[in-house]
Amino acid sequence: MNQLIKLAWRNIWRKKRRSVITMLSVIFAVVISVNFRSLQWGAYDKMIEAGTKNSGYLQVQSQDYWEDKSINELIEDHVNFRNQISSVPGISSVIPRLQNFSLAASESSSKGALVIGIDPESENQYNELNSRVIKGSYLSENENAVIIAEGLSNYLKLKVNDTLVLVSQGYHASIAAGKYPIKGIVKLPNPQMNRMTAYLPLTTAQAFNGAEGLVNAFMLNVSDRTQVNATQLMLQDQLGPAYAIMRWDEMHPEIQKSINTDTTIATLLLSALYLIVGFGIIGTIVMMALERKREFGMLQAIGLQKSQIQTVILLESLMLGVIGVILAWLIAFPIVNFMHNNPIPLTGEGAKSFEAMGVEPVIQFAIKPHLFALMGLIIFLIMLVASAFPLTMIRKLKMSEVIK
Amino acid sequence: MEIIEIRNLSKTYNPKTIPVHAVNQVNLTFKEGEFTAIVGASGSGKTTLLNMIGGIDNPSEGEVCIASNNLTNMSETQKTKFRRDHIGFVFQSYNLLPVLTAIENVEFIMEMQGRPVKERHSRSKELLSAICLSNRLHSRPGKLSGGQQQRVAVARALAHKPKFVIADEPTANLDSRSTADLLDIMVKLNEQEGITFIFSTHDQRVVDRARRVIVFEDGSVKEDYNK
Repeated sequence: MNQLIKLAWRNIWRKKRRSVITMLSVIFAVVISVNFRSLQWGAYDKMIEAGTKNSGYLQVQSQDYWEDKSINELIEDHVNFRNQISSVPGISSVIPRLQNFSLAASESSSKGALVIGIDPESENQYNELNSRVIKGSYLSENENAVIIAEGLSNYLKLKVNDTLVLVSQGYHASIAAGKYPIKGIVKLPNPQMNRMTAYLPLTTAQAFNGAEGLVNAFMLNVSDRTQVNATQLMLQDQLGPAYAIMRWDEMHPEIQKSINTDTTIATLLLSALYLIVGFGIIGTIVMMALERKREFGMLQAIGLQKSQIQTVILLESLMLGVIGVILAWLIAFPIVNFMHNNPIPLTGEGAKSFEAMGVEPVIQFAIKPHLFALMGLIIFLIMLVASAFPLTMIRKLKMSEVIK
Repeated sequence: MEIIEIRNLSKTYNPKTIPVHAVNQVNLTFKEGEFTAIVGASGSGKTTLLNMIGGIDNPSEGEVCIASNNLTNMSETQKTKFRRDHIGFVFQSYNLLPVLTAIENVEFIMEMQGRPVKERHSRSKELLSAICLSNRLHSRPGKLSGGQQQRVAVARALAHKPKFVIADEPTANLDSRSTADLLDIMVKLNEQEGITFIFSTHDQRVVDRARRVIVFEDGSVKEDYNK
């Protein structure tokens, strides 16, 4: 085998220019595709991050909550239950929430608002809500105060230390009504949320809704986003059928749909790129095989089995591919890494369109090892396909017709 | 002792359309240590005969036995292994591997046979020294003249100590000086190592050095004589 490897290695340098051009086409394809997909995955990550900041990657809910999102479909908030959830591998934090729609009013006007009861500490640990406070200060546990989004405060013409009146239908049709001093004003990235959200400490929200010790959902953060499906199954297994475990992509189908559409377009574009590069590689390898017909015949005549000659050819193709892919990785990684660590802030209309979707307006590449591996695998498959012609040619080779 | 026995050997091309009898009912035997030239005009069937003796081509009829092994009954894989272990080939166009040096080309078959490095090196050096190329061990074929390349090809054919060597017009691309050198070397190796050589040739200089001459015409043996 060593002899065959040596032969293959020397053969690829036999026509240096041709091999270098083949490798350059591999490098070009892999560098372009890795960077392109890293850019897209960076955007996907931002979209997912924006979505999950307000929902978690998983949520534990009552079985019927998601359908109606009714204040009557609540679950109990026990320490034991939280511990049971936390014990599932992959779950890094459990954040309780009780949310309900209310009529929010000031002296002069009123507006429908989403009132979210939060545990200030765990909420802040998860989505850094504290950092979004632009006026006043953040909530403390159990206090009788509210923070409201900037858009809502503008609409109601309320400022810090003013009073917000909330009126709603509480748990099991109870009347929910309360007056809360405004402790702070937050600017939320999602424009819709920024127009309608108010946060109460969880216990205050429970008292407001007449739902002491109850929550709508536990938002869960996970240590590895790629394992969300497995974590969901383990959690479902742990908690039983009384609870619904929702994944982020089930709660935000619009994000998943957008990613799928974008991925389809990218796949088509990259397929065209790989098709062009692939034909180039196939052409080179076919030429190489045709030029060496006599050599293949001679090798068989002096005692190499056809399978050994085929191994040499396959090794040559794979070596060309592997060298090209490794060089491409060495070029692509620093670019991706730089663009990951140094995101480019967007300005003007571009920034506005990102902000409208609640997404941070920056261009940031994602570092996804699977992209590097996938592009390498595509080249590996192209090389296998390209080798099919010489391999078949060798199988059908008649020595007496090619050697002299 | 007979090393090759050919019985009723025929090769017919296009048997279903316009049959061409390249080799027609040939019976021959070759003894160990013979130095034989097969001569004849172009298209007389010399190369086809050698290809069948070497297991490169399959006969339409008849059989080739080498040291009691019937080549005709062997599978493709068996024949390839048999060629590797028992037959040496010298081609008209040298057919050295361009990416290997002279010594690597000579060692190539032995390495495929799995012979130890030490044995390969000493045998290759010995042969390259015998053909006066000790100073070109690490030159690739592209850096050697035609005559030098053909000498390396002879060394490669002999390296694994085959039962016999088939040489198809080995001097066709060589000048007079290179031809004379090559023939000297082959005669010397034939005498020293006792290896059987079978040539096809048009070249009178080769015929002059052969000890047995087989004249081939229209696919049949016209004359077969020892000198």
